[in-house]
Amino acid sequence: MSDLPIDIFTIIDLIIMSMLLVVGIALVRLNNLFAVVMLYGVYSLLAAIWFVSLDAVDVAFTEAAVGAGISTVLMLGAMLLTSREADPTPVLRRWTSFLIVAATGAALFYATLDMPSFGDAASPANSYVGLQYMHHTISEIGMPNVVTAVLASYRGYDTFGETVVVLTAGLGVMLILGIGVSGGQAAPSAPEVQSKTAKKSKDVSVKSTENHHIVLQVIAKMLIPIIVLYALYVQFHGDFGPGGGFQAGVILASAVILYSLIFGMEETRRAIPPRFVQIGTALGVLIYGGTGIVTLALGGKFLDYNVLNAHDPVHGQHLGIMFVEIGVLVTVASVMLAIYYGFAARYRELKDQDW
Amino acid sequence: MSLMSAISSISGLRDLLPHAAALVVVIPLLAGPIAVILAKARLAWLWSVLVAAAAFGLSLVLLGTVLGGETITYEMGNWPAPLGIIYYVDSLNALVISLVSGMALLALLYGWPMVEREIEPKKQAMFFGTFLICLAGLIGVAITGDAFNVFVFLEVSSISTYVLVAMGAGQNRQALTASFNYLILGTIGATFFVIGVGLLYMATGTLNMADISRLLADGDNDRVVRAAFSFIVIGLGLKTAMFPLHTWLPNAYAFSPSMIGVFLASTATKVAFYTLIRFLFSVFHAGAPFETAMFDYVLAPMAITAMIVCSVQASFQPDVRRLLAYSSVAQLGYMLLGLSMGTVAGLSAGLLHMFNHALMKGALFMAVGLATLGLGVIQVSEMRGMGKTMPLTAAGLSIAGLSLMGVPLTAGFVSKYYLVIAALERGWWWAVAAIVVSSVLAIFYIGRMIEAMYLQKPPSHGDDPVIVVRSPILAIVPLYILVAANIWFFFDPSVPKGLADSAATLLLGGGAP
Amino acid sequence: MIEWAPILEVLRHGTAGAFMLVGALFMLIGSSGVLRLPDFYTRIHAAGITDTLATVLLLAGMMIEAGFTQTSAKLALVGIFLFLTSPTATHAVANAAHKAGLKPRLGTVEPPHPRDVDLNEEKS
Repeated sequence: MSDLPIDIFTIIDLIIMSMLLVVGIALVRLNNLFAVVMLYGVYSLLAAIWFVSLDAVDVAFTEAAVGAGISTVLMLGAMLLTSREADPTPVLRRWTSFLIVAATGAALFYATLDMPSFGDAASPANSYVGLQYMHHTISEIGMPNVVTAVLASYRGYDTFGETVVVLTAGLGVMLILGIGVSGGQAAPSAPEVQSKTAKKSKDVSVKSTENHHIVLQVIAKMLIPIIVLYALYVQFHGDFGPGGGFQAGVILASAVILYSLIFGMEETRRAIPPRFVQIGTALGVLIYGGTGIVTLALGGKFLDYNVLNAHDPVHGQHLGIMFVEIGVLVTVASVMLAIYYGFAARYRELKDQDW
Repeated sequence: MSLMSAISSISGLRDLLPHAAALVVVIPLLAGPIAVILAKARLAWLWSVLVAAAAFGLSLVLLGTVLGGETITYEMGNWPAPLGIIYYVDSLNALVISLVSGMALLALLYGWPMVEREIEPKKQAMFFGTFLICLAGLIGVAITGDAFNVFVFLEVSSISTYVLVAMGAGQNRQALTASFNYLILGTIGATFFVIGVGLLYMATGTLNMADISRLLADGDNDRVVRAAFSFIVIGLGLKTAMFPLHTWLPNAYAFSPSMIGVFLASTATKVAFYTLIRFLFSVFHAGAPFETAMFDYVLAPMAITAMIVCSVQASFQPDVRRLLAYSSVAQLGYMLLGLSMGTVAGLSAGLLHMFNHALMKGALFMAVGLATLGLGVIQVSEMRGMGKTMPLTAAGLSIAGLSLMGVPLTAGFVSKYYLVIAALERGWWWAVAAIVVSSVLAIFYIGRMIEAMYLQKPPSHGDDPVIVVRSPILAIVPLYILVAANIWFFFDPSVPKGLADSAATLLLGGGAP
Repeated sequence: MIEWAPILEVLRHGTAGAFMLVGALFMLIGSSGVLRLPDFYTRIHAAGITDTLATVLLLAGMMIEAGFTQTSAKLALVGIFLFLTSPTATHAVANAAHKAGLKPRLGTVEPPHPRDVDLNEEKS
């Protein structure tokens, strides 16, 4: 309730939005794929900051972990399999795309004319079902983070579907690229990958424990347990603050990817065999769906957590949400690893033939 | 039916029947990951057949209940409607669900000999797992009564479809490009759809379809709702392969594994078409001026263009499966035409054509897959003499082709007949003209195949007859089930026609504009 | 009798502000360094300033502002994490560049005598 016509948050929003616009335009105009991947990371991070400013902390956290974090790593992995430069787009196609995007934008602008103003408490989105969630969550589910309550219980079935979407993406990568269940010889570790332009033949012959990486290895050994611990914190703190299975799964996977970047693919495969990852992708969905089957067996409807505890429905909700979040964690972490393994397996294949 | 009552008399199963609406999706959805863990191809296939049969059985249970005049509502997590997600079954989607699960069962039976030859052994178990997830996704889209849940299951089905199409890469590397194109366009479609749903949420504050519809009736037709309408129509139009947005379809159908071609051609666009109907008629109000204008000046012309242009394109395709794919886009034009009339008769005819088209295209793709297996047929010209070398397949292909033309004694005739009647009722003589032109073109492109099969001599190497791989019985049986269905539903279209009529009446609230 | 509480409060805000301001200043210096320094290794040196000193100062400022709360503890953890990772990242990048065969631009700077520099030439 300040007297100023524009408050500080609006200014911050405007600055972030204009930065998003600039990054977006740069993304479209660049042909260098490495720069594009990096700018995507920047874009996601900016978007995450903007979401924080809009008070959508859970969304911001997911955007930062998935969009800016692991996507960038996976995109870099994918980029290694292709060239660093994109072919320039033909002029005609460029203009057609521009026209389509402009028309879409115009339609959205047209819609804004009748939109309720931002943060309007009387708008339908803020006053109807959204408000009911706010009122009911404490008595029905008993946890302070309404986002988690909506995501895992009220609309838990949607989240089940989303978990299956993640699994399907992983299945796609495993089917099309394979994740090297058959195993094979040592894969190069990432620092060697970076130096591929220089002395490839020498790098492949040396062990990855070469003293060049000693600093990285020491620090990584210190960090990886902390990252795993943080993932578990995010997983189990989701009831109270931002967090949950999706973010935790991504963070857990990133710990393994860090390990693999520094200690090599071979070591990682020994620690977490591809078949294990493959089963993990399916297992998470089964844990989620299994919770639903248990509620059916106990006489409730699918995913009705109230029946999990006959005396205290709220406790039942807590249990149910915990189980399904574990399911999400297992599937998301496994799928991220499966995608990473898919690219890494591919890279070795290429190396044998062409590099 | 006695088998059915025997099954349901087992008390444990009877307890599950109230949950049929949820289980018809959840069973395949959970069976998919289990198939991935099974890792043995034959085991995974048997498991998939079992699961598809269970899903088909459950959908028949739902269909039976709906035919009894009830609608089924199932609250997920026992949360009441606007708070939670509900499943809602009425005569419109009971038909679609039965169609999808039935076609999945037939495609799986047909698929084993095909998959054995087309897909690497190591990948077969995961392939069947992905197929089950795709099946669950398609049923999930059809059964839900929640606008956002539609998006989630649309994604489940779409992403698994991209993967399944890409698995054709074992036969032809072009499958990968086809799948990638489909992925890009499909994702754009999904994004448009979810923007539309977001705008609807902004305008109404709820995601439950019935609730949105109720709230839209109160408010005036504001710009947010209009934008939502446009975004949803374009998004679902991409998924339905509505005329100018169909470019992904021909290659995706042509290069996918045979079994997937059969399944997609008979279900994927049908489910998207159903969703379009659901949104146009039971979420938005079809009588509103803005929507009527969209129907008359956008949808109907697009439908007509698709019927003619894509039939012409089909006529000039050398590749059999691409020919059939272009014909699918043209046939979707028929369905859209029925929809855009905005009358009970038109909508009912469109729905009936959707059902019949699934039967005929399923049979056609099955027969072509067998021809590819037996003779390595890829082009129409390579089909010469098939009437002699592969008589069963050729006969099945011809009968399904006749149904596609709309010849009497086949199901295709029935739906085209009702479509013409509906167009005349609406006074759209130009639509009737388009139907006739498009049917003549169908005679031409199906005629090319029949001519090659029966009037040309089989190819031969000198004096030796050409070597034919015998068609597996397991694949012939589903083909003939579909062929028989194509004939059966000419003589007795009462079940699909009745369902289509009651669905159309329900959607238009009795009073047609 | 002097009321210490408000004075301390003002001091706290002031110190916090000063820390953050200095941090922001280092951020600016680092950024301009990344843009203006001549080669990869000197630029990475400038980037190191923003990663370590500037960030730590900013975090310290925020911790002073937050006082003895859970937020401060979290900020301290962030600080420790950055203290470990930022130099390591800088090291990894420099190491990779070195292994890829990128040579630093060595050699002494030999500026021309001002008398030799023509004003027009400098403009062009």
